[in-house]
Amino acid sequence: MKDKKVELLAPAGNIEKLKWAIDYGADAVYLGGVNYSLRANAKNFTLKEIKEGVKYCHYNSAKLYVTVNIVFHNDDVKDLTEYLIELEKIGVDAVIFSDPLVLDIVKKNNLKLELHLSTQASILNKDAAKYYIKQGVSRIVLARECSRNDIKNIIDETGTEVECFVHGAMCTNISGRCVLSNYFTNRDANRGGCCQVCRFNFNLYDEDKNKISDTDNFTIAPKDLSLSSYVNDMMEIGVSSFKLEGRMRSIYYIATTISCFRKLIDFYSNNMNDEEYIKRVMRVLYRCANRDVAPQFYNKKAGYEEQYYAARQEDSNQDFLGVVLDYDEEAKEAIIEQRNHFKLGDKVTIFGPGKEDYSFVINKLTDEDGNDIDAARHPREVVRINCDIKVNKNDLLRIDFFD
Amino acid sequence: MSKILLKINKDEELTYPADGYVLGIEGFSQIFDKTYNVEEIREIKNKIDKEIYVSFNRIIFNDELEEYKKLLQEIDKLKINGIIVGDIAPLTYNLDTNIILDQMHLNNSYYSINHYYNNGVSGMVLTNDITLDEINEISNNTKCTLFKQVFGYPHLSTSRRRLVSNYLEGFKIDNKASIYEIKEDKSQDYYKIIEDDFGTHILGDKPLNLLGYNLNVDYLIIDGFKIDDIKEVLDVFISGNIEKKEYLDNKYNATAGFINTKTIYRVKKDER
Repeated sequence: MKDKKVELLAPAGNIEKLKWAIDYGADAVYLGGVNYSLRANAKNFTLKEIKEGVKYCHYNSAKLYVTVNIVFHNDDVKDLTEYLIELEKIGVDAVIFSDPLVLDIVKKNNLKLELHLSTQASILNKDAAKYYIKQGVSRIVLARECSRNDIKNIIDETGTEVECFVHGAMCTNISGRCVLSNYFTNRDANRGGCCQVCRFNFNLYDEDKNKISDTDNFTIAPKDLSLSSYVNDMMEIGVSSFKLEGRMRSIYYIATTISCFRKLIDFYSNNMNDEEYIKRVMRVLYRCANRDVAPQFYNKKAGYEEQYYAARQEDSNQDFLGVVLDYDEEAKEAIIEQRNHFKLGDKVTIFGPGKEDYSFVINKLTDEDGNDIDAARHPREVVRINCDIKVNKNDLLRIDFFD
Repeated sequence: MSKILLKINKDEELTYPADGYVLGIEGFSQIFDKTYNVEEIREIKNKIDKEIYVSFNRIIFNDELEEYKKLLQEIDKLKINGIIVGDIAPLTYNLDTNIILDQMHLNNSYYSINHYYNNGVSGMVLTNDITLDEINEISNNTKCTLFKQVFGYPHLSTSRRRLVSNYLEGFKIDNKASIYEIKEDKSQDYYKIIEDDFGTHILGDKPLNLLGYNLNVDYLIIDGFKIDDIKEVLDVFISGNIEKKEYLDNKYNATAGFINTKTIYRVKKDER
């Protein structure tokens, strides 16, 4: 295994999620500003919030990267230089860009911003990577169509830092090379307006307009990506950064995926060997994703098995039961803010940063004032449950699905 | 005055009266009905006294690089007018021939175009995703030679996946059409789906027709891909007879694309 410590890079959809990501073990976060990011319709971060995020990350020895990864039109460039200057002043650790004009502005203004090339630039080979390395890019986020051999060869031949998406939704088309959204809905895919046509259902016809599909079950949607089974292998071939997708996802999703990948990375970094442990981590991860996942192009060319068709499995589950607000050491009770219904007799698990999962049966359940209740029924109601071990604020409660 | 280039999809189109031709090359072109090998390109170059461009217009996987580079170097020796590339790898190859970059939907501003111009690219195929004003603003702010598709189906997306074959295989449907279509329910428009050795491409529902628009670019590209005979269209563009615009629009159900329409990307303004 290469000696360098690998980075776990998590999405941050807002300042609250940023803090959860860092607390749950991310080494770095990426986020979008109000402008210039490919999630134009997300809440995104103001400069003030980015500053707060940088402070929080750096205090916790983590890094913060800002996506400036739209494909710019002439008019979009107007305030960009000032924005990049502000990002430098704030102390962000890197800018993730796809349009080479960002690189030129950073150079021209001698900005001390590290430059990471976005997957939107669709880099699939070592020579394309070399072009950008020569331009001063310090890290490349490879296209998700790269295979294991491609990734290894690019790292070996260029010596550059490579960041790979390891978990989350992915585009059907090569990132940056798709404007279906523009044509179907007038929303610009490469400026953050993508309406995700690749998640639509269609009827399929031949060129004489004879219908081929029985129903509108033709889609071009891919299953989500998950390379959790290849974490060790990716560490071996020298991937520098393991990137999770999901700036728009919930706190539970973020905490769970980060927690699982943190465990996998730490496990392999310490040369441990316990298949049962790995299996449990994987199960938690896949269950949280609540969509079918596949390694996509990492181990073979993606085919039928890597796509979704009709009856797409995207079951919403109620695994997430609540957030720990506090712990009463004297009574040995956890104080929980409810997120989904749970009741006396339920077997549950509490998990949190830097601790192993703790599973137990709820045999005492009271309201905030200590009155017995049989169930926590109301969203955000505060309840107390028995809990023999000390848990911490912002640990999470979920159902135990291992029995 | 812009020159007119014809993208060659059939051998007979090499007799059509354009200022130059864009040829596809075996293995590394996409959205061409006809591609050529190096020897055939050499013969065409020697036989025809017109500008010749060879299009390597797709992106390249790492394990293809050796063959790709070798082929580029062979084409480089032919002293043609330009090599069109869809991948930036050739910018590191020190080729003598003019390099024209065609990255489909990237490089929508003169700032990006100038970046590549300052780093060895001599020409840029403009995207179909920008307006007339944007095109002319680019033209006024770059020395890069500009190319723009003015007729033909716009290329909307490229996937490494075999999206139709996978579906047919999964649902055990026996169908071997050369081209497929999907229908968008709201507009009832049919979008073409093409599979090739690389993967799957989706084309626009209607051909683009920019006859009559005052595009300040060096080369206008006409593409007859999946159009029966492009000769009539070519003749109209060469004659510059803008009165024929409506005729072409009606005959081919053509559209001006985004030439007059700005795309949006923020559905709701951030009020903070």
